[in-house]
Amino acid sequence: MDFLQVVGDRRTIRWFKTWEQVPIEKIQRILEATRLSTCPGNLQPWRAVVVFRDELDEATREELLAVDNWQGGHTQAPVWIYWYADPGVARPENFAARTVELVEVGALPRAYGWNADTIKAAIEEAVETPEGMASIQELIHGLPEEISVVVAMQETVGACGLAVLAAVNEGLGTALNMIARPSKHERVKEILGVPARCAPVWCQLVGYPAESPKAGGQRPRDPFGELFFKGTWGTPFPRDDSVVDDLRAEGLLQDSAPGPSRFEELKSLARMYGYPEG
Amino acid sequence: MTDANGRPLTDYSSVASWMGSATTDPIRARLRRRELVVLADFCAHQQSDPDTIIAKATANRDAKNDYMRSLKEWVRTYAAEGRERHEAENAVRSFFIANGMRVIAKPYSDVYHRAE
Repeated sequence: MDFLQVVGDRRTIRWFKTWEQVPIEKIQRILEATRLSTCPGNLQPWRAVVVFRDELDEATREELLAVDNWQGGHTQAPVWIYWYADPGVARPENFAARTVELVEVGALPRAYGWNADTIKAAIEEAVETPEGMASIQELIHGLPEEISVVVAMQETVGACGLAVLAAVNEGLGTALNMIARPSKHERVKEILGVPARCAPVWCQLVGYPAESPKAGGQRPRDPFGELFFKGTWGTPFPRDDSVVDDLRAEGLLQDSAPGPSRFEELKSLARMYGYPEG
Repeated sequence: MTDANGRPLTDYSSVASWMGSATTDPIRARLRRRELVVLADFCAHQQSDPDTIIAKATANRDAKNDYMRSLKEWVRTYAAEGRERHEAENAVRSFFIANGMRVIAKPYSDVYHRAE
């Protein structure tokens, strides 16, 4: 699919076809795309445990659903991807190793001052980096462990954004759910065999949408000019109507929710799955 | 994949409409072809063909429910417990759903009764 169409078509899907299995190849394609997500220092702190609902024994399946409060989409989706951030790989020594690796593969330019000696001196001894190179001595030297957790989580969240788009590109519906209520995070780690050091990020539900893939239209968004500024905070970035028209033609900008007959669709889905029609 | 009379299953209109949604996506189409084998086996078990099954289920709600009950029993002998069984059952259920049947859409009957 065209990139803009994928972004425009993306919705959080909350009703899945329980009866349509997701080919494992499609899950691999999502993971392959996610593996190439952008990441500072090439740390790659994202980890995922893919759970196929129908491979679980009844007790485990029920427990994983119960800790997510039996959310409708979770009970219906045939594939659950549990995303975790590994702060262990966002520690200074790993940052040093990965950035040296980036120099060696020709990604970080030596011309800007990047080399094994400057990287190690900056990270290990807080030596000022040469002009042209990032000031990693202030960012990475003595990095507190709790900041490693933050770094690992923010990079994993970014990777999840790509995973969501990759799923849409495969013609699938997807949603990012909480992994569990906070008090149950450790239990889920135990069930999935996730190391204690890892931080929970999202449970990505994947399946074929039972609702219309457009799910009633694009969700409300704040005005462009209130989100994006030019030069200084508060100065709206100009929004050119002709660009907006082009993006509408290219599939990025679509009709806003709720579209016609959306509420009838929701009633019908509720009936189909045995929920109150609301 | 053919029926007992040697007629290709995909010649049946009910099968064509079931296959239809999956044919534009090669990965999904591959999976559907595997599911077609399951459907063929179910039809053989019913000693019937896909269009006849759908016609009977459409005309008579009891017949549809009988098919669903029969499917539940059949998969127990057809596939090992676990994923294989769920997938076999879902393959046949998706055939009914794609042909406009209102059948149980819940993945597991117990899942939706927690709040009751």
